[in-house]
Amino acid sequence: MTISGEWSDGGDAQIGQANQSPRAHGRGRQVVIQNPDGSTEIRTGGTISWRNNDPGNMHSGSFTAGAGQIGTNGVLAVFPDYATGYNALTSRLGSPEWSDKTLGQALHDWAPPNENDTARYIAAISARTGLSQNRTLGSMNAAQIDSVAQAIQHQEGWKAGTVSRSGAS
Amino acid sequence: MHLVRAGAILGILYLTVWYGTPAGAAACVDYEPKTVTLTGTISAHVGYGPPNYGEDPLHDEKGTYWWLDLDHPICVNGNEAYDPYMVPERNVTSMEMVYEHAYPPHDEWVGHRVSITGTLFHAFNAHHYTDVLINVVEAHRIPND
Repeated sequence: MTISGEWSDGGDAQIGQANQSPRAHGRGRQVVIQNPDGSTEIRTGGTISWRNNDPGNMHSGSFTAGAGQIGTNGVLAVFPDYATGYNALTSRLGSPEWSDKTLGQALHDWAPPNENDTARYIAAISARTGLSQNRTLGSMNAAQIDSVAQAIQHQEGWKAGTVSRSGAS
Repeated sequence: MHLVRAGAILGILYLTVWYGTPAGAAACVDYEPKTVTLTGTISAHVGYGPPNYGEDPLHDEKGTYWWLDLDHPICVNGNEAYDPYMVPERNVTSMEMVYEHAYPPHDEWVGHRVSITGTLFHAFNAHHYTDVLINVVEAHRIPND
């Protein structure tokens, strides 16, 4: 698995069938979304999370496929719009298999600390949400899960680039 | 004719045994919450992080992560009913090590053979640099390495 360097084209015929729903693929520093009506949306620049409509920078898989993913950009999922990608992120945080994890444990899994910076990501999210690292995700209400998702989106870096559209609307 | 047929049957049996139970083969291990103990050598790798994960090396975050390079490739059983990301994996040779607390001293561990006990999970976002990661519970250096 390679995370650094140029992102490869990642069109996925299994996700987003032609003529039925949008489909998307990465193309260098662009993401191309082809809509069933023949129109095309090209998202250029910005951050990867913005380009992919994937504020959690989640990998493509059956989870994201079930959450509305329409394609891939390298190993990452591409969603049709921000709302769908954001809902995938909150669904992951609120999923039953994660309910017993504390916020600290979940964030260690989400963004493993590195050798020189053991807990900055976790500390930043705790500070931004005001939630204790010892709170389990299962004990959080929807607003609190939402605040964790917002903080993750912020830490991942959400910066818009440019969108160009062509074809039918 | 019977000898030829018998020879062929013996050959098939031999191949079945040879390929069915290769020397050193181990049963697959499980994802969390089960605990596993694995041996290998620790190596250090630079990984790029937000916002663009290596597209812009000058400005992207980067950090040094430790991998456990396994003595022998392993396979990991899937458990997609529990977590859709927990897909089966074969021929896993390296896994990113996740430390809940501070990393131990670099010079005393990187490049050395170790026995690591922990729980496994599958990569699910851009922060994960190997397909399978291990949350470290215990680590022991193997003497004379």
